[in-house]
Amino acid sequence: MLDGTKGINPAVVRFIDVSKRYKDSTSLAVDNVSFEIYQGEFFSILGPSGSGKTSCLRMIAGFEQPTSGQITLENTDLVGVPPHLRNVNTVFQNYALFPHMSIEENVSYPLRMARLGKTEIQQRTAEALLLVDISEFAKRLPHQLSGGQKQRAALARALVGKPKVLLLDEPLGALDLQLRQQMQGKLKDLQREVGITFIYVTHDQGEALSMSDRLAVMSSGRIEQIGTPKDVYFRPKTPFVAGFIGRANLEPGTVEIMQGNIVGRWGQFVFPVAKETPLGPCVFSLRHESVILNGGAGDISAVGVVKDVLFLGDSLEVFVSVNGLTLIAKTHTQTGFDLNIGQDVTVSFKSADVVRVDG
Amino acid sequence: MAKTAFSRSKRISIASRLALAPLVIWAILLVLAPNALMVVYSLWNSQDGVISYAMSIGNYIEALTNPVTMSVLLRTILVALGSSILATLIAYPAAWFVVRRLSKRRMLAVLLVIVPLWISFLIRVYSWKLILGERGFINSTLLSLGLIDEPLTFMLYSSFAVFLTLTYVAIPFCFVSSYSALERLPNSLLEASADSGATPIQTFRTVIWPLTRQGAAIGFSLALLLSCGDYLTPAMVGGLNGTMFGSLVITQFGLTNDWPLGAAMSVILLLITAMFLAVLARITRTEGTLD
Repeated sequence: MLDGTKGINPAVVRFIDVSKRYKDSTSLAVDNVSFEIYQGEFFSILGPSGSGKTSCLRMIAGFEQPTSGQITLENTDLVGVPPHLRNVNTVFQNYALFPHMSIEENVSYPLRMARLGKTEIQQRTAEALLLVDISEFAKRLPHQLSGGQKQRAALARALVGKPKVLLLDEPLGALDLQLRQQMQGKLKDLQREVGITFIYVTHDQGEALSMSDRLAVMSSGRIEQIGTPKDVYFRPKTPFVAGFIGRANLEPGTVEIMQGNIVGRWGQFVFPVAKETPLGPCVFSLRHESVILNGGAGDISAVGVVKDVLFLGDSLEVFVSVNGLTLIAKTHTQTGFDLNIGQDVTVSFKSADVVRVDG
Repeated sequence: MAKTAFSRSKRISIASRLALAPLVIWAILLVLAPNALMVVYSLWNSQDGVISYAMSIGNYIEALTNPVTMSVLLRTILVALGSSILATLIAYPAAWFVVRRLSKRRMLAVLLVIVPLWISFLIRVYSWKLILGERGFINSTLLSLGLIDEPLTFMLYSSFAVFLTLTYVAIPFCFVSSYSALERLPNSLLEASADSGATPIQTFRTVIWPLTRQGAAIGFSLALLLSCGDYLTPAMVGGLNGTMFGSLVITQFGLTNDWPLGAAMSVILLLITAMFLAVLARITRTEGTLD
């Protein structure tokens, strides 16, 4: 299940054959999942709603128990351990700040529950408030703060107890776009600063790709692929991953032997593929932006006809038919400005960018 | 431009004042006026049923210096406080159980608790007479089991019977107000508390109770108001030993025909309950609002 990017750090969280079935549900929310999350990494679980990503997070937090399988934290079995005895903290999607406590009281809450000394509580609370830059709001109540400020208070409360793992459940979901982008950078910086393992659940591929060291893509309770953002983006293993992250041309083709070499045949295109690729019919994936029109560095090229042009502002999506195979090319508005429907155009791409995604 | 804006805002304020009018009229007619009338009455005097309009605080002195009246007042307060506290102690955990443990049958459970309110107050009180009486449910059960030879007589016609009945009557009110407070409590706050390392008891003390105690207090207040002024329950199950302050007040308005004294006694009871409620409101106040 793990790919070649295995970190040097030891695993901090381990899922071993974990399944989760909710009461009154016929299908599995999480379907026999195994993976490891390494010490100090920023790990994202990416998937559409209902893919089981939040269930995974809630099982680490202890709000849900797995139906079968085992989850370990630093090699200790977590199954059956109640949430308050687990050394992990959660940043909730709706922040879940205690409305009757000031921001300071909210942030110091985990320390007060652990009955630490007064001076230590004061000192660590002040540090946490400073870390997320909300010291000036310490005395306010949550409802007097903006969404972004509440978000940072929730982060401070989750970090103040120095957990082994910080769990983030779509923490930026309720913020507007601009604030969300700002917070992405802040979160990544914060994670480097505190050195705590972050497990980040999101349905937003942009967030997952920009922040993560590694990410898992989930669909229907299963893990489709785990890898670095670049890996998952450029070398998708399943049609789902290719379709869910970025935009890709997914069209059927075959892998066959031609003159002693293993090649891919995709419409009229024939190109070399890796030696270990299995033979037979398959689906090839090629990113929209990897299709180059009128020149470029591709080793494979052919002439096609422009079928349609979609204007997206900064870019164009050009539908080109090459002998019955329609490829979509994403190109800068400037480059494709004079393309007209019905016009002939040269299509090229690097054979290395074509990925066999099924099987 | 400025002028239009001004006249518009003025019109809105007149409209909103008009919208408040029914509330104000209601408050004056049904709350302020009767109570003002009662205070005025309490300062008049009755001489053999004939009212003299000379103002004095004689009625208050008479009520406050009468040892029987005072001992009944004390008993009333103790019984009312006790039954309201017991009703809250039963209803709040019950509401918690319904909110947290039942999902599908939640509405059914709420309905079952509220159903007694549909039945006449009189009948509900009377049913306790049937349960506690000499040939009542408890006695006949114990007798047929052979656990006692003579029917127990201490249960009915005592302060205990009044206490028990008032507790029973108060439970639905305490339940409904506790329930609505507990139901509004988001699950994520409880998860956040456990996530922060709080034990279930710590979570109750620091999150659940501060955010729902106002609901419990409203139920408690309703129970207290109902039981403090009640005269039906003591009349039916209290007997002589279970006489309550409300019974004394109604005697002044009926049998003794001394309305001014009755009014003065009512004012005394009103002030005492108001004091309890003010203290309660003060100690259960919680800052901050749920989103």
